[in-house]
Amino acid sequence: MSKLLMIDDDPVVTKVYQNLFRLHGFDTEVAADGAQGLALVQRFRPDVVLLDLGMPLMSGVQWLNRIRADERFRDLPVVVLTAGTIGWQVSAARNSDVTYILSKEDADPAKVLDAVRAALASGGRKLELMDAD
Amino acid sequence: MTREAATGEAANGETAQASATLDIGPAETPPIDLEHLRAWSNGDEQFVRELIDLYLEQTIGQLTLLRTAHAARSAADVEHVAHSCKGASGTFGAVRLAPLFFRLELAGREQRLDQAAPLIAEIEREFARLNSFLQQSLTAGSMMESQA
Repeated sequence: MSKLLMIDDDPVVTKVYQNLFRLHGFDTEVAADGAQGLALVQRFRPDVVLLDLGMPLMSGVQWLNRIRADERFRDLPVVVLTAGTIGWQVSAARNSDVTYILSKEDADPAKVLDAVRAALASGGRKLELMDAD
Repeated sequence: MTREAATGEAANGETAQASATLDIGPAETPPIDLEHLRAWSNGDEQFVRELIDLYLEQTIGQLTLLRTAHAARSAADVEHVAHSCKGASGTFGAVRLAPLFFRLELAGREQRLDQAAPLIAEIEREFARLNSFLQQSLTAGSMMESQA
């Protein structure tokens, strides 16, 4: 069973995604902020991370920079899930070796599952996947 | 279009994405995309009811925060709360509320608080319509079958 860590401060978003991944056989943990995410990534040792960018206290980009500085997590696949109009954050996330970037507005269950499964298979490499449409 | 290209619009041209996302549709558009909700819930009625309760409770609290932020003339807080509401509403399938929150987020980011008041009023009307729609659907029976 693949282990997924979701880091997002929005309870509605985490409830929806946690249910989706539970239904599809993932062992899922949720962190409500970056600090919790840092603790959980060490304790839970996820195979893939689903990361929000626009969080208070520690942004997703700051979280990524912290995690990439740790050799143990340099190649951990990270899928960014963002409500995405903060352009500099998206650009910064790309520069921190995220595997994939998804928009919350455009996401549907199949797309999200495809992205996470592809990220798991990527070994942390950046992906250039095509939309089905 | 690649997904990278799609996200690149957000990274490189916020205006381009804004113009694509700001279409809130006609007022008679149903306030929620029930197909969207069904897809995410896999037909789990209990989950949908819990999600509706959570979304309504969370958004009511955030609307209070928005009014407070606007009254305090805090554009940054308006932007932050509207951004959060946009993500939750988009995930929930509130098809008219999500782009309205996006407009409000942009107004906050660009310090256009004079435009925030009518937007907040419109958001509150749309939220009331959504709330009423959801309560009627819940009262009528299965959310998974209504309007199918």
